[in-house]
Amino acid sequence: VLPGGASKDAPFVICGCPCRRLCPKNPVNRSTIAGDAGLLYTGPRFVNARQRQEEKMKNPLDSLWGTVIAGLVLTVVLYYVIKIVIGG
Amino acid sequence: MELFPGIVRWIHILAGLMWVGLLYYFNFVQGPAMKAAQADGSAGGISKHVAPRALFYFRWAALATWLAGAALLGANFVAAFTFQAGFQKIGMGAWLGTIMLLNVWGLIWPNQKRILGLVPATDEQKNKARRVAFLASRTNTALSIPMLFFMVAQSHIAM
Repeated sequence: VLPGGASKDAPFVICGCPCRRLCPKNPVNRSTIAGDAGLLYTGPRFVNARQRQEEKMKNPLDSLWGTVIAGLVLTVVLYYVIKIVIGG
Repeated sequence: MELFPGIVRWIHILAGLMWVGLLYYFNFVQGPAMKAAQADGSAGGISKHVAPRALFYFRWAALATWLAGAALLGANFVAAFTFQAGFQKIGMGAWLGTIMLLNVWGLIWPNQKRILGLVPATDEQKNKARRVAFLASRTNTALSIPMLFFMVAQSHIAM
């Protein structure tokens, strides 16, 4: 039995330190982690809500429409930047 | 209009059309076509015969556009790149065009050489090169929109 109450053979033993990955340094068992608000088990590791959100986000440049919209938004932003620089 | 600046402007526009035209071809036509071609096993022809030729004109047109643009700016080159009074709009266009040129020669072309097998690369390196070249090309597509706006704005859009 490892620190945190997990068996050495437990399938969901992960690190209790902030890295939240499989790690022999400070393992804790799944129930301990699951009780930690905001953490989700996603296969081989636990992720917190922020990490999960980042995984869902897509790069707008991956789609043509996203690219065109990014270009248009940048045009508007730079328009106002230059307008301020000119003093208009 | 004096002859020399007029001819340089003409070259700037011709080369720019080829550069941005090929950029849009890569992003709007060849990219989606490659996916379909890979699905039916006919992508080899595009990779072997079309892409290298397109990339040749693409990268040299980029350089020609920038050089002609720099020649057009002439003595105002520094004023444009430092956003001096009267040159803010063309300066922004020039900066965006310069970033695009650096993307072409610093990211797109070196990575395309790996993808097309012009320089040796492992499968892993090729996959990484594909992603980098793709994102650099998409970045240039996005940057081309404000770049063209500010190029036109210098003489035709009041701000």
